[in-house]
Amino acid sequence: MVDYLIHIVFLALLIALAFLVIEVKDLLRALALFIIMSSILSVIFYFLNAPYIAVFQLAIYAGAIAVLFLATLHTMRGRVLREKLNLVTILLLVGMLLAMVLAFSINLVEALRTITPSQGYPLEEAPYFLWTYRGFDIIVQGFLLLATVTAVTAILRKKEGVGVIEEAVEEDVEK
Amino acid sequence: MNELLQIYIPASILLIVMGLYCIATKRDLIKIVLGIEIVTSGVNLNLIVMGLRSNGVDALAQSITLISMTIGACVAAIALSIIINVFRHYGTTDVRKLRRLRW
Repeated sequence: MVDYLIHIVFLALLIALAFLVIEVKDLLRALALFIIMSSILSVIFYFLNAPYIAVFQLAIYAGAIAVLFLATLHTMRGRVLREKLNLVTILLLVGMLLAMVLAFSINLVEALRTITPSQGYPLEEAPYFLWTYRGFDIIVQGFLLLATVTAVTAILRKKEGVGVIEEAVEEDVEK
Repeated sequence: MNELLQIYIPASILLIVMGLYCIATKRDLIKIVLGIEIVTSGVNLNLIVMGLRSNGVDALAQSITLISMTIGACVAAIALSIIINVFRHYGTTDVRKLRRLRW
């Protein structure tokens, strides 16, 4: 029962932090809350007996993506947008959530009770499976990362190319 | 096991809905990318929970979640570089002001 309660507490923290990430106006604070949210999600993955996913969640989301966001915010420091909270959208969100809660409480919980877990790969074999039979996956991920690096380099290039306006060169006559 | 499913699946769907709300209503491009990341987190949580067995998480679900995380990171990287480019050209990250179709 205590175990169950811990799951609920961490999930509530996760959802509250996600809401704060969405609604906090200062982007830097939102980013800090996003890092905390990713860390809590990593703890949840650890509770669910998926330690590898927890480590990758910490490394990728709370580490790499946060650094990318920080670098982006650094390039546009002081010129970020401040938004007002819109009442209609909040009401829309609350309505959607209520409808979802109703749908779950009526039918879906009963349907979920009938799910019987099938026998998957046990945890002891998971590292073996994760690192042995995933050659194709890892090749695909390597190509994906390569394509991303190429795309980011192409987007952020400063030299001449399509869509780049070259500034006029003014010659200094006096010298 | 089923009790865990009953709390985790609504929570992950809630995360996805909140991310979609952020994508649909926010005007700042960085907030929109944060919303995309929240959606990805919800999807990852859903994948792990659906792979939950009595003796741990199914290894195939873990491997698919790893691929999903890599794709999420790539999406964030490309989106943020596009945002930097947009900011260089327009001087703002407000989506309402990106109507001009010239560079």
